[in-house]
Amino acid sequence: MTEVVLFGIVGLIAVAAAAFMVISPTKNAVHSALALVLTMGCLAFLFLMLDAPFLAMIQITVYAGAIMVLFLFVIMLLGAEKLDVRETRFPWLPVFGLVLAVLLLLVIGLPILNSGLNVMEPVAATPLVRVINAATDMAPVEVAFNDQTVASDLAFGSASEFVQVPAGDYSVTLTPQDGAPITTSVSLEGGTTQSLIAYGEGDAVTFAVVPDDLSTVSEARTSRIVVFNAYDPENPISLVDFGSSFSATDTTTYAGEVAYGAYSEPVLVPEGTYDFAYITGADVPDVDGEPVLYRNREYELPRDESQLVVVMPERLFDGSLRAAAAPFVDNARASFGGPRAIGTLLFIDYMMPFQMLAMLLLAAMVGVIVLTRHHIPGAKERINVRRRVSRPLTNVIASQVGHEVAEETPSQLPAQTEQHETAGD
Amino acid sequence: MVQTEMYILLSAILFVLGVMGVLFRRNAIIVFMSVELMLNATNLALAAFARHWGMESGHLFAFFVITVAAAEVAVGLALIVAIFRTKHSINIDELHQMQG
Repeated sequence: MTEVVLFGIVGLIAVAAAAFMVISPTKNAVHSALALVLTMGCLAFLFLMLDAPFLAMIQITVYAGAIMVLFLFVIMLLGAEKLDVRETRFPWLPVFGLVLAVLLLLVIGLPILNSGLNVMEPVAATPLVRVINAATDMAPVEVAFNDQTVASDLAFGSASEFVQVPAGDYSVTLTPQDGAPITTSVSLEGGTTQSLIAYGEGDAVTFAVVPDDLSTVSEARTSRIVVFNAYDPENPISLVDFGSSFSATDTTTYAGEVAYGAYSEPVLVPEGTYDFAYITGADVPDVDGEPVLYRNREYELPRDESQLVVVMPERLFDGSLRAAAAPFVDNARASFGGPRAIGTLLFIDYMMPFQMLAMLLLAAMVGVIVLTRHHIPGAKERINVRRRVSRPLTNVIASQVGHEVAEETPSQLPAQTEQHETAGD
Repeated sequence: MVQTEMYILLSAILFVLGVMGVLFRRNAIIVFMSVELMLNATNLALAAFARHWGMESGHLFAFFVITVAAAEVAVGLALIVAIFRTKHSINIDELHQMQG
């Protein structure tokens, strides 16, 4: 409700200032320009209400700042503050204009009101899915969704790219290079992002579906971590941070007791350097207290990322198993209308228009320089008149002053600087 | 949350005001400012639709419009200055001939 009231007030101010600009009852162009500045300020406020903070700032700096300063500059340069009083040459013009304005507003406004804009819902995006191979002893696999190959040579500990498939039920087939295909079925809904994790040892491969959250990380300068346990069928595992190596007391548990084949709640972790360790159970050992399953010393966690950490058993050369934690990283989506989102869009999707705009600005700059070049008719003759003075300038000055000017003692300045230097020493 | 239609209506009102300024004012600077008002009104509509559909492309188009407006204002005001030098007037009724 507050928002509606605010919208009403700001909108009214914007319309009133715009009307003042167009009608300019004070007959002063500067007042009109200042009214337009007010309109643009109100529009910047409305942009903020429309989740477009970057656009609002651009509006204020470029429009209310640069462009309006240019307007005011030209008005004052030309001395055109006083508007012509005999502008309305036809007495019926205001009435005609009012009628025309109302008609135009009806033509534009009625379709908007009848469009049923708020009934329309955006179509749900096609689901995104990726496959993670966390199954020990499995050769690189080829992944097919309903006979459509989406990834090949997917080795142990790696993930495919996110695949966009239409929503629906799929039978997913994993074909190892040296073995029989394994099949499972998933159902994908529109607008979801999921990871399909294949895990287990030997031939006992099972599947788990973990939802991925690529939305904006709600807190600034944090990343989102989800832990998946594909390691220990008997015991749950936890993710702890040992903190500083100089202190034994600053150990933090980020994800506690994740059961086998399950995933933790997403935890928000601030960016920074961590000493991550994956442990069995929830009992945190000492800083040097082994055994931990897997330890990530000096782990640099960036901000705005969505990480799915899969803890999986890795086969060593001597045949024994060891835990390995592989983070699968994705950039979280930038906040709507923020500089990062706009920048991504501008420099990836709209690079070509951006370049063309740059060319346009360059052309405009050249055009302005050409247009404002000083070429008043009659200026050329004046330059010629000046050139007809054949005497050097010093002679002219000498004849007016009465003595020679060129022979002034010029050696005063270097001598002074030398004195300064000796004084400084 | 304010409905998208309200923003579009406000944008339409501002646009119509700008059109009226272009049609009925004779001062070239006021005409230019009215053109700016129309561009601003379209920007508002673009931002409103961008929020409605959850797509940032609308913001980007508004950004492009602002850039084009900046270029256009620079050239337009340079033209006005050049015309004022020769005609000593910026009343567009007196600019009815194409020769310098």
